[in-house]
Amino acid sequence: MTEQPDHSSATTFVRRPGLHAVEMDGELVMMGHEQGEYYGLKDVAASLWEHLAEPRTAEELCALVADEYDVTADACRADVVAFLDELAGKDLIERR
Amino acid sequence: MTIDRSFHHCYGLVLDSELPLLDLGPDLGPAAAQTPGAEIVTIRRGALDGRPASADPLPLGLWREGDRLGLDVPGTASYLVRGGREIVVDAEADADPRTVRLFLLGTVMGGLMMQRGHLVLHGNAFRVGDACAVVVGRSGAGKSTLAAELQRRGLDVLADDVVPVDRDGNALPGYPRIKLWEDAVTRLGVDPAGLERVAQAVDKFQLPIERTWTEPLPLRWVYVLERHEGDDLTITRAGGMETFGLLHEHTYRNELVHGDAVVREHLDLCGRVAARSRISRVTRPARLMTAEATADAILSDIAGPAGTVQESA
Repeated sequence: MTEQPDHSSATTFVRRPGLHAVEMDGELVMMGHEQGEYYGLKDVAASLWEHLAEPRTAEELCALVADEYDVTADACRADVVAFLDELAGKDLIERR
Repeated sequence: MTIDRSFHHCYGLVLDSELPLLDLGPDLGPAAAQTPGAEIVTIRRGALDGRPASADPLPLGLWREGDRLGLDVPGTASYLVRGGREIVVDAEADADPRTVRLFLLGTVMGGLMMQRGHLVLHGNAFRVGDACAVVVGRSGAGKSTLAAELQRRGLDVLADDVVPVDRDGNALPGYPRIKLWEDAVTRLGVDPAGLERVAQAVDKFQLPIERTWTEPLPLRWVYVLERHEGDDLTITRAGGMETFGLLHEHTYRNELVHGDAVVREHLDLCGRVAARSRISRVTRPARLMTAEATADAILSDIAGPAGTVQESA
C-alpha cells in the first residue's frame, strides 16, 4: 500500500541515498529506483531536486522556488506538492 | 610445446592472442607486447563451464558475476572476459572459425571495453581533423554503408560497429575493416569474390580499409541514423533526456548496462560525452539508399554553422 506523503509543516523531504543524476544540456538525467528506469528533470523540477539534497519542508521548497522564479509561494504551492507526491510515488525521495 | 600466438593493436591495447585474428591485419610479433606502457589483453583457448548458477543471467546468452562476463553461443563457442584484461574462448570442435572470431571481436571485445570503463557505442567513427565523429544507428540503418562511402571519399574510418569512448571523451580506433553486405560491396565497385565473408554462409564481407590515423581522437559529433517515410533528409539537434535516451539506445549491447554500479558508470560516461559533443538525429527517407546524400549532409553539418540542415534526397 502506498503511503501518501504528509505535507504538514514539520515533515521534511530528502533525496533517497544512492540515486545518481548527471547534467546533460541543462537537464538532469537521473537513475530511477528500478533497473532501467531513468528520469529527466529540467527547470523548476531540476532546481527542486538540487534543493532536496538536504531535508526540506514543502514550505521551504515553495519559498525557494518563489524566490528563484519571482512568483509568490502561494502560486507555486500546488505544483511543488504535486511534484513531491510524484517523487515519493517513484521512491526517489523519502519523508523524515 | 609452444602455442602460436599473434599480436595486434586494437583500441589502444595490445592483443596477445592464441586465436588467429586475421581481421586485425598482420601479426606485429611479441615485440608489440614489450613496448613500455603497453596495455596487454590476453586471448587464450581453454575449457569453460558456461554460466555459473550464481551469475546474473542477461539476454543474448550473456551473464555477469563480479568482474567476470560470459557469453554462450550454442554451436559456436563460450567466452569469458575477466577484469578487462583476459579473454578465454572455448570453441566447439566443428565451429566455423570466422563465426567464433565474429563474436570475439564484437560482443566480447565490446564487453571487455565496457569493463575497462568505456562507453561503447554501436556505430562507426571517422576522423575530422584533430577530432572525430561517430555515426550510430540500429542494425540495418546504413552505418557501414555510410562508413564505406566516407572511406571512399578519403576520410579515415577509425572503427566499424564497436566504438569505445574513454572517460575523457576520446573515441578509440578499432579494426581496419568495415563489414558490408554484398550489395553495398558491389555498389562500391568492389568484387565480393576477393573478400572474406564475416561468417560461413553469410552474404556479409570484410572490406579492409587503409587509414593514416590510429590514435584516440576527441569525439565532437554523434549522428544517429534514422528513417522516415518522407522525402527529405534532415539533421536535428538532440538535448537533455533525449540525448541520454539516444546514447543509451545506441550503447553497444546495452543489455550489459545492468546492476547499480554499471548503470551509474554508464550514466556518468553518457554525461561526459554529452558535455563534449553535439548529438543529432539524421532522418533519412526509408525508400532510398542515400549513403552519398547522408555523407554530404553530415559533412556539411560538421563544417557549417549550427542549425538545421535541410537537403532534398
